[in-house]
Amino acid sequence: MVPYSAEAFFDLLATYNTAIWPGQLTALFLSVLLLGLLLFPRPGGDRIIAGFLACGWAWTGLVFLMNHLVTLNWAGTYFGMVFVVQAGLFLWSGTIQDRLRFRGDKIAASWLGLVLIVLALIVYPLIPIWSGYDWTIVQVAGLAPTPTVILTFGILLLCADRLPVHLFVIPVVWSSADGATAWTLGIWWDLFLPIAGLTTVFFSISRPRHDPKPGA
Amino acid sequence: MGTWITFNVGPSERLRNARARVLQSFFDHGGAMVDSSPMYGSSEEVIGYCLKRVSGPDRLFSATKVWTPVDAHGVEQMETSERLWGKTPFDLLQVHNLLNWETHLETLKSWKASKRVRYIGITTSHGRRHDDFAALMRTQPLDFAQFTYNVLDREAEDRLLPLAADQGIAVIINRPFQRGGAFEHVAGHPVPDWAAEFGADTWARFFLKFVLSHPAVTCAIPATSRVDHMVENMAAGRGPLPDAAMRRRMINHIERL
Repeated sequence: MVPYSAEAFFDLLATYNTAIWPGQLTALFLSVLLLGLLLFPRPGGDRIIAGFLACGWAWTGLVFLMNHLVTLNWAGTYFGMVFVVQAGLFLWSGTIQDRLRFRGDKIAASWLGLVLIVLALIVYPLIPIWSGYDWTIVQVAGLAPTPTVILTFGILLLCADRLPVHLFVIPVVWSSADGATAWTLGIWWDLFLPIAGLTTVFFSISRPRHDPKPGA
Repeated sequence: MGTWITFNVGPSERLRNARARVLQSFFDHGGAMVDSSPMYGSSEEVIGYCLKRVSGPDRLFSATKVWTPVDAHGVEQMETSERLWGKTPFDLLQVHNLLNWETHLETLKSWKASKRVRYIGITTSHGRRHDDFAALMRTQPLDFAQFTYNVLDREAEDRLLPLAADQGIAVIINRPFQRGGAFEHVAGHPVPDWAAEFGADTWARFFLKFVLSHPAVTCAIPATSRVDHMVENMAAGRGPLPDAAMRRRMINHIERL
C-alpha cells in the first residue's frame, strides 16, 4: 500500500528540488565526469566511479528518503538506511578495496549497461517534461532514488570481472518495490526501473564469465 | 470523513490549502467525524493545519488511532496526535488494525476513565483478523468498532455487524467504495432508474446509501481530495435510505454487472 498520491509525490519533488537547488547542477557536472571516466578510463578512475555511486546512494538515502519522503511515508527512514548501507558497500568494495573494474567488454551486457547509463543520466530526467509536467518534478541521478538505481544497474553491467553479487541485492529489491509504487501511482516512467532491474538480472546471469587475471 | 492518502500531502502549502477547502465543505454540509491515524504519513499534521483555517470545527468529532508495536511508544504517539491536531481530548481513540491491542487497549481504558478521551475502539481493514476482532467486540468495553463494508465486500454482514448491534457498539465503516474498486466495477454502466426512489442519482450515493442503510452502521468515512466529491458524498446522508428489500435489489443489480 502506497500511503500517498502521485499529486502529493510530485509536490514533494518540487519542494525537494527547490530546497537543494543548485545541487542538481553539481550532480549533472559529476555525471559528465562519471561518463568521461567510463568512456575514457584513467588510473584510479574505477575508485572514483565507485565513490560517485556511494555519494549518490548516501545523498539519496540521507537527504531525499530520510528527510523529504519521510513526510509522506514513515518507512522513508528505513528506506534511507538501506540506501546508506548500499553506499557503504560501494565505498568498501570499490573505493577502499578497489575490487571493481568498469572496463566493459564488447558484449551485450556492456552495451545494455551504456544504454541504462544514458537512460538514467539524460532520458529519464527529461521524460516528465516531455510528458507535459513541470520541470520542478525532475529526478536527477545521484539525488533521487529511481535514476540513481538505474544508473547503478548500468554501471554494474560494465563490470569486467566477476559480478559483484552483493552490490546487486539492494538495487534489485528496491527496483521491485519502486515498480509496485510506480504502478499504483500511475507514474509510468518509473516503470523503467523494474524493467532495468529485470534485464540487468537476466544479462548478469547469462553473460560469459571470466575471473580476473592473477595480479590484475 | 477518512484521511488515508487524501490528507497525506506533506509540506505542500498548495495542497494543504486545497484540503482545507475539502474540510470546509465537509463541515458546511453537516459533516462531523474526521478519522485519521499516525500511519497516514502527514495526514494528522495536515488536519491540524486545516482545522486552524476553516470555520465550523466546533462540530468536529475527532477520531484517530494508536499504531505501534512498541508498548512504550503508545502514549507518546497519542500525545503527538493531540499536538498535531491541536485537539484535546480526542473524541475517539482506536487501536489500529489490532496492532499490539493487548497493551494499547488497557491504556485507552485508563485514558477514558480519566477523561483523556471520550470513546475508545478498535479497527481493522477488509477481511483481516475478523476472528480476533469479533472476540474483542464480545469481551472488551468498546464504544466503537471500525471495519470494511461495502456493496461488494459484505463479509461483515455475517458476524461483525450483528455483533455490534447486539453489543451496542457504534460502527464506523471504512472503504465504502472498496478503495475505488466499486467505481471500477460499475464503469460504463448507468445508475439504475429505480435508485431514484431513495435519492441515489450517482454511483457514489448508491454505494454510500447502501452502507448507511444497514441498521447497525453508525457512519461511513469515505475519503476524497476533491470538494465536488465531498459535496456528492455528503448528499448521501440526506433523504430516504433503501429498505431491506431495496438493499437486496441493489446487491443483485451490482452482482449482475
